Amino acid sequence: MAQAQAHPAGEAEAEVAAGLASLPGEIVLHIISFLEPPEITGLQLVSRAFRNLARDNSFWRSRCLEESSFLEALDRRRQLRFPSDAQPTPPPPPLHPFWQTSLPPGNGSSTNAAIHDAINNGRGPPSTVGPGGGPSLETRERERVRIMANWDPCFPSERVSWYDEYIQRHAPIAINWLAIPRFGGSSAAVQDNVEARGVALYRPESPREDCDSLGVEALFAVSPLDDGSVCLWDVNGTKGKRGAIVAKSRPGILFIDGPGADNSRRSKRVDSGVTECVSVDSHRHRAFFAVQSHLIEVDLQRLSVVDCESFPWSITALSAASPAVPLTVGTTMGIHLHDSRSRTSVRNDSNETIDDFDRMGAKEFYERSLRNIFDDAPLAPYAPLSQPGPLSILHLQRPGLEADLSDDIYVAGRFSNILHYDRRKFPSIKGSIHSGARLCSMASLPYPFSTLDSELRRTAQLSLEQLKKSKSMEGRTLIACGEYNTKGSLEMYGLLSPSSADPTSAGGLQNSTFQNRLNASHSKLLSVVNHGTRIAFSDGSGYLKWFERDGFTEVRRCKIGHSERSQGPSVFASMPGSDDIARKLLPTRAGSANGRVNDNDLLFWTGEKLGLATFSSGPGFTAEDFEEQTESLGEDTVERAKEKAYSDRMRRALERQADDVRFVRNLGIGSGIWR
Amino acid sequence: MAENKDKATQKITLTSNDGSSIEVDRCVAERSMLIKNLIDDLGDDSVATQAIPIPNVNDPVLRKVVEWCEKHRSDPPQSTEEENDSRKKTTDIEEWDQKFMQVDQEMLFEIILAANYLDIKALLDVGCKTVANMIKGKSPRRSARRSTSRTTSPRGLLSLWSFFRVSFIP
Repeated sequence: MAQAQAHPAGEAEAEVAAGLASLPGEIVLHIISFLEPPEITGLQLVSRAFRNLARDNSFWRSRCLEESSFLEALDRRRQLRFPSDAQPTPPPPPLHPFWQTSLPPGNGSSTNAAIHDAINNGRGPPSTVGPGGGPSLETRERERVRIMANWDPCFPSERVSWYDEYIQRHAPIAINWLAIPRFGGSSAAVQDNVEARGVALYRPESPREDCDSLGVEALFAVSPLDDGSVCLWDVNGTKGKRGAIVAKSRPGILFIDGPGADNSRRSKRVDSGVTECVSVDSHRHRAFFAVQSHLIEVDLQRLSVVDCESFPWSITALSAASPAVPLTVGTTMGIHLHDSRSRTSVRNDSNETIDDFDRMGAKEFYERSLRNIFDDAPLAPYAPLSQPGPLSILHLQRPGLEADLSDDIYVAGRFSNILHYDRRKFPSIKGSIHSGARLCSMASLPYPFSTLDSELRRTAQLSLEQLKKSKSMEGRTLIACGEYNTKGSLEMYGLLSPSSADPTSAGGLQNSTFQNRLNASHSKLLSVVNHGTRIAFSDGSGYLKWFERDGFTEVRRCKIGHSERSQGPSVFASMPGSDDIARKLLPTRAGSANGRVNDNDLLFWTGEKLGLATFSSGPGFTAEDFEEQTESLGEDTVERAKEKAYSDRMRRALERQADDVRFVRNLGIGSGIWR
Repeated sequence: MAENKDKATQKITLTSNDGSSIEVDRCVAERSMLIKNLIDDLGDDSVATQAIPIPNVNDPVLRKVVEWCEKHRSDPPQSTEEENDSRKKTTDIEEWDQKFMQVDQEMLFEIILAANYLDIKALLDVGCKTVANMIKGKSPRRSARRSTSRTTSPRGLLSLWSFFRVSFIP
């Protein structure tokens, strides 16, 4: 084997791979730990065994921690507290005066004890200090495990693919724009863009043969368009190209007066101010659209209106639809329950045949439901609101179960409290949580949240036992976002489990509220979702941001930017505030990790267009990809390409000059002051 | 103190799996945590009289490992080497270790396995780094030290810019 060094590079590589395969797994992992992520992904291609090794869950978990802003902040804090100490993990003084002064002595002795416990048990006792003066190897290893447990955002019953997590935390983000629908289909000579008025995800529970060989689930984005049609985009690329339009209904089916009537008036259309105006029941293939004060139900397989219910006031929010529980509808003045199944029985009583539905728009339904309003029959029970404008309605899960919904309904909006209803006792209100901010979006986690614990975890002060206890508690977390004093507010509320909740406690609230109005954002938060083990939200300055589950530590951020690349040189292009903003976010993976890697992207709606934030080095598609190439290839095209290249070059030159001018001016100011 | 010195230079015999034995200083052998723990458990006397068998390692590899331990006999304990455990891991290797690791690949993997078995963390790290560098497609020699580019001061930039302006822009 002495001639190994003489081999050409390719053979040498193969030999390295063969040699690596003979090593035990933990040594290969040790070798992998010296590599950069791109090299590790290359190694995954070698063999199945290597792929499994290079996707090792705990390896990527420690990698996530090593590169996290959590650890960075922790190190910085420690260096500030112990500036003279060179050791990265110095043993702390047994009782830090900071704690004694910051907590009132008589009040809450249990919290005091908890903190002292954390300090005393948390670090290794001083006797295990190694011979070199620093902590011994064992102690450091134990400390590392403890810090990791403090950071680890997942809960015992949660399955997390840390390889995916690493990708979502560190891989470059690409913004893709979905195809823009046109007026009058593709054949019309005059084409005009049609804006989307909302978005929801439709995940048809298809039989096995519908999934392709990689196990990709079909997933569609459903959105009502400005011309009164319903449009479906392919998000996962199972029916064609990713991001292309799969189906579009006839225009006008969502207009109140039906397709034929005059619909030019704004009051007949989907209200552009309503963010939560679509919700999809994937199980029954139905979508619910809020059009002014009417709830229009559309069959997504036939793309036709099947039902319509009118409410006395215009709809401002819809809850997510699920087959198990009725839809909750928020109107300006009240909260209503809408059970589409109960409507079905009513409809069968009247003498209409199914054939009519295709030809009918929403109008007949509208008229019938209008008759119902003036009927003698009393209105269905609803919960009146003292202040108008609910904007977000959330059905909370049962603790520990991602998919199983409980009977709790939470409503937030243009009022200072989050209202809590119980579906079984509807319409009487069960409680409320004071927020003070103007909230516009909510999400929830079926896991407990404690302000004190998350505060201590941020500074890595909890011991393993305390962490285990804190995480295995039964409870749920309500995440809300909105605006407080023109700044963004991200709020976390720990809710007690229904079994142990004191019936007198307001809103089932545990004594833990965390309102991050400090570093969430400078502008209003628009939408919040759970994304992997992080919280993702969008803000009014066009950012998507990811935070840890403590609601304080920022993981990463990115700007959505413009949807139009080919807009050409514009003075406004580089100005702040001209970017698109994401009004609604939707993670494309529901539930826990399955076999596929990197499929949890973030779909967003800017108010007129749909985009998809993916984690890859380049965008998979752009809106321009879907435009048809109608231009004939010829001199015309060549000229145009030349023109485009020239204008591109000029723009770059101008930008560079502007940069130069700015740079020199700043230097001039600086030198003027200091000389 | 004298006893300590005695211990350090006390001779210990290691026997590889093909029967040949190597005599090394005790402090050299104790670079291996496996042997160190073994000596601690057995006591000084029994070690002085009989050879320690190393059944998983053959003679050339054991000689190579002992060579490395001889070179690194006076290294401080691992606590200082691992100071930046949580920091980004570098694949930089010392000059001598690089030369030491210029062996054929079978030998390299054998050394890694032996280092793992004998629990010599520093040698294991060096071996793994060498393999990692091979995967990276760099020659081990080149990856030794990357020169850090010096940051240019604003004034330097200004003079650069004015030079550029005078010479290239009419």
